Amino acid sequence: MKIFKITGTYKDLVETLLSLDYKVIAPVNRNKLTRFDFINSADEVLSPDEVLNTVRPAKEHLFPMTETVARFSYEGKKLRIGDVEVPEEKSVIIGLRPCDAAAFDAIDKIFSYVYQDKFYLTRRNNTTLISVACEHPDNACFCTSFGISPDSAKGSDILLKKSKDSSLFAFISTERGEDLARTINNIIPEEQPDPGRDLYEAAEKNMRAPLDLPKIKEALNTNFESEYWNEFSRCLGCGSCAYLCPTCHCFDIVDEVRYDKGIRKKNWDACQFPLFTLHASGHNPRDAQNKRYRQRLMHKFKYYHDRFDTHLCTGCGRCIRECPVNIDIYEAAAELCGCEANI
Amino acid sequence: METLQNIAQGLLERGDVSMVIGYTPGTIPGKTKTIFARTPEAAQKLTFNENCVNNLSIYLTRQYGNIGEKPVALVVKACDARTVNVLIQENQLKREQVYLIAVPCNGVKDEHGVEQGKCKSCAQRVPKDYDALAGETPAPVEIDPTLRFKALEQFDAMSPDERWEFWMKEFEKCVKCYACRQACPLCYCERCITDKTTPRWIEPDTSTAANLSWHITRAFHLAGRCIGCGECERACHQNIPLGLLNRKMAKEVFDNFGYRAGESAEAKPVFADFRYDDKEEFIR
Amino acid sequence: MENIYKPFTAIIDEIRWETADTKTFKLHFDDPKIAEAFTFKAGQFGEYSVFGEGESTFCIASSPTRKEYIECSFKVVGKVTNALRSLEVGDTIGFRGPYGNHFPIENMYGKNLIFIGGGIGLAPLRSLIWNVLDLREMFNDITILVGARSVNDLVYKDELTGWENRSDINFIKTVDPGGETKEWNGKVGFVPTVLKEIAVSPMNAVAITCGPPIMIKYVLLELEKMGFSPSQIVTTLENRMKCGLGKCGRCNIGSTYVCIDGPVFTAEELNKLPIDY
Ligand SMILES: Cc1cc2nc3c(=O)[nH]c(=O)nc-3n(C[C@H](O)[C@H](O)[C@H](O)COP(=O)(O)OP(=O)(O)OC[C@H]3O[C@@H](n4cnc5c(N)ncnc54)[C@H](O)[C@@H]3O)c2cc1C
Ligand code: SF4
Ligand code: SF4
Ligand code: SF4
Ligand code: SF4
Ligand code: FES
Repeated sequence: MKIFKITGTYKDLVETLLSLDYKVIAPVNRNKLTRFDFINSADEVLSPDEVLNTVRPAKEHLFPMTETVARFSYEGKKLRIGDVEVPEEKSVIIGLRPCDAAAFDAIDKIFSYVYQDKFYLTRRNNTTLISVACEHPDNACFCTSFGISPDSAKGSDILLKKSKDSSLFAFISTERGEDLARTINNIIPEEQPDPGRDLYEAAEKNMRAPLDLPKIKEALNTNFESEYWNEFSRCLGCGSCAYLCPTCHCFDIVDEVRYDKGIRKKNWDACQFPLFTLHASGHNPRDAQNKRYRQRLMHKFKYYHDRFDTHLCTGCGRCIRECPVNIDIYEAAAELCGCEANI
Repeated sequence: METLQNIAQGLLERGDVSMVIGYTPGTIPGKTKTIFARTPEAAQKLTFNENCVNNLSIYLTRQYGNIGEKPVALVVKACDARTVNVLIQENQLKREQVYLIAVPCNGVKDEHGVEQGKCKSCAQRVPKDYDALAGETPAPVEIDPTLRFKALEQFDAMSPDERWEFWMKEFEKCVKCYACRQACPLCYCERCITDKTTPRWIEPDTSTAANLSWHITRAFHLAGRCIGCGECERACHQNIPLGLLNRKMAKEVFDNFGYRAGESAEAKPVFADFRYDDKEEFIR
Repeated sequence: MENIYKPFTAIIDEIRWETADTKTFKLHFDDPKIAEAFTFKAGQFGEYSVFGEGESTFCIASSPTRKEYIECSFKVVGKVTNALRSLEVGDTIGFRGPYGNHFPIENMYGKNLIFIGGGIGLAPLRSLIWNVLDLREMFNDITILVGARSVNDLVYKDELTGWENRSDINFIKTVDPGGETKEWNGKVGFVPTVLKEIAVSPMNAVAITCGPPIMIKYVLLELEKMGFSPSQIVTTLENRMKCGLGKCGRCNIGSTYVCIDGPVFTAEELNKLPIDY
């Protein structure tokens, strides 16, 4: 970890990034929706004081909602299948929170084990993540449960952090981060002593208490049939939780065709939908909504951890904020293992 | 005056209903969650306040399987009760299968404290039809009925091109999660047209064209049925003003047929109705 | 990096109607280099596609010992299978694979094998059966029990006759009660019931079964009663799949991805999984 000092403001930094040979992606408010999008000027950007966590996470820039993975065309009976190139464009995502940055670390695992998904991985390798530490977590944030914190550098190439007197520092964790930092003239490439985490320590105190993950996992190992899952028969199966989650990564594969040409696409999908697991025979292993919610929770706190030694949740709180029926994954995980939800 | 908890407790103690579906405080200030109270003790957890935005009638639809031999009690605001009427009109439910516990309502707010659009024009403090009233009968209020379509004025004033552009910009945001459909108590189709694959009617991707076809289809399927509870718009995290679309359809139906969805469980649904004096030639 | 979603092209050389709703395709890869390099093991599956309609998961129903072609058998149930049905000899389809694990044939050498297949569930078994028959001397006794709802629902009818006529196979066929015809010379009864009648010995044996979930359930019970230990029973699962690559997230049973860790499981392995299939 290298600590460099930053001159000027956050917006100045964005300005400089725009002048470099990178596509810049940052939080914006487009049409009453906060999301990460390509920007052309620093004025469009929501500053860290204006937004904590955008409604849509940055995930869609590495794993788009819809993405062409193959092309095909017919000349008479002759079929041609075309590959799809993923452009090797350098981009930088600035303004994401530590929870969102750590989320990429988590989904790297699925997209790279056994088979490599070049669509995700090519973008991932070309993207530099500059996150900003959170001074004001809200009442849905619970990143501290996952070894992340409002100023955690996990998953970020560069983390922007303030000292007590509000000077801005860049905490650089990777070579990719350092390469970028050295081309930014607002960053002084001289190592600094750690400015401390006063602001963030204070912030952390007001957050939900960390979950006891080992205890939760132990409970999940045995309570597949627990009565408690019935709580979630109130789930609407709306999929909001999955679509807004920075770590959810399920998709469908479908074709689209016009005349004799077509494309094959990956589209986001979610385990909260009944059709997700419906067999052709009509049999559905998850034939009720509480079973689908169980899959979601188990996947996040047990299955993914069993397989990849990482939880599939970083505590960003989006599913809690946006669930129309207030299903709160933090509360659910705590209560499942017989703990009090300490919100 | 009986309280909500007492009514519910009594129903459960006597075994009149299998459960009481109502609200209980949520995990975040300003949010409430649904509770399926099955025991008299659980009835004590019921609550009603200005944050009880959800339209709980969705849990009466078949996919939830809550309707059994015994009736189910449901806590309803005036608007929610209108949905129940539509469900009855559309043979999804029999009146005797549900026990309506009416709660007087002065308007509800989301967790950000924003009063719901539907409440601004709502003059109905309690449902027209219910089985028990939790609390006092409130004093009637006078609200200009045309307020219901007020939000459309600005929209109707736009040129078709402007309107097109407006909606294109809105639909561009749609992520095709179908939360709008899932939250809607009247989107109860066992297999939604958008899930049908042979043939595929609506492309499942998020191109603007595919999004447009989804929203137009949904709006048409709800014309004359949507009671304006606003759940679709509330569920849509992308802030797409879906209510505007539905309200526009409701206005067309009202202007043309003088029909307002959910006014009565006995009324004929507007698209199932046929009149000899219909102004259109082709239908006669 | 390679595009893991891009299929090979394969040409349909032969089409056979197995039943009123099931067809078998014999395929060869368009590109001779791929045809040359392609290998698989019995029990593996592929993603077959009709362009413009989508992909569908079927096992490879032919034997890995027959290198010049692959075969698949599919039941027409939905979008892709309907599109496949209308294809003709010479048409091109897409193929991705082979995916998944395979039958543990290494553990079967020198053993008595009992195959129990129901309906289209015979397809994955057929791959292994031909594999075993092509290496017949490596195995001890072979019993094949095949069942279907009715005579018309039996797949691979010609091959069944061939197996029936072989002296080195103990072959039994059955149809569900009511599914027989006048000419039917096999048994009448549900597969688990017939299995009980023929009472195979668990000594030095492996039972391999595939069929509708309800059949598998009772076959497993029956085998256990006969004294088979869960590790002696092998079956294959058919969870809904899309990618076959462990990415799309829909085929999991607990922490197990059927497309990567399966589709072949021993009953011992299945017993450890949550009932989510
Ligand atoms: C490892 C593995 C191996 C397999 N091997 C074989 C094999 O060898 N042979 C074989 O035949 N199958 C096999 N299957 C099953 C096969 O994958 C499915 O039958 C096939 O994918 C169905 O594809 P489809 O596109 O035709 O169906 P889809 O159109 O995708 O439809 C799937 C199912 O959705 C449901 N559905 C669709 N429309 C409706 C509607 N209107 N109302 C209600 N439900 C509806 C139906 O259940 C329908 O069959 C295997 C599966 C797996 C996982
Ligand atoms: S599960 Fe919820 S809190 Fe966890 S990362 Fe996903 S959206 Fe955030
Ligand atoms: S969960 Fe943690 S990292 Fe994410 S926004 Fe909240 S405080 Fe920041
Ligand atoms: S948990 Fe909430 S957000 Fe997720 S599908 Fe259920 S109702 Fe929707
Ligand atoms: S809820 Fe919103 S984002 Fe989801 S499908 Fe409906 S309109 Fe689109
Ligand atoms: S089929 Fe996609 S993960 Fe198994």
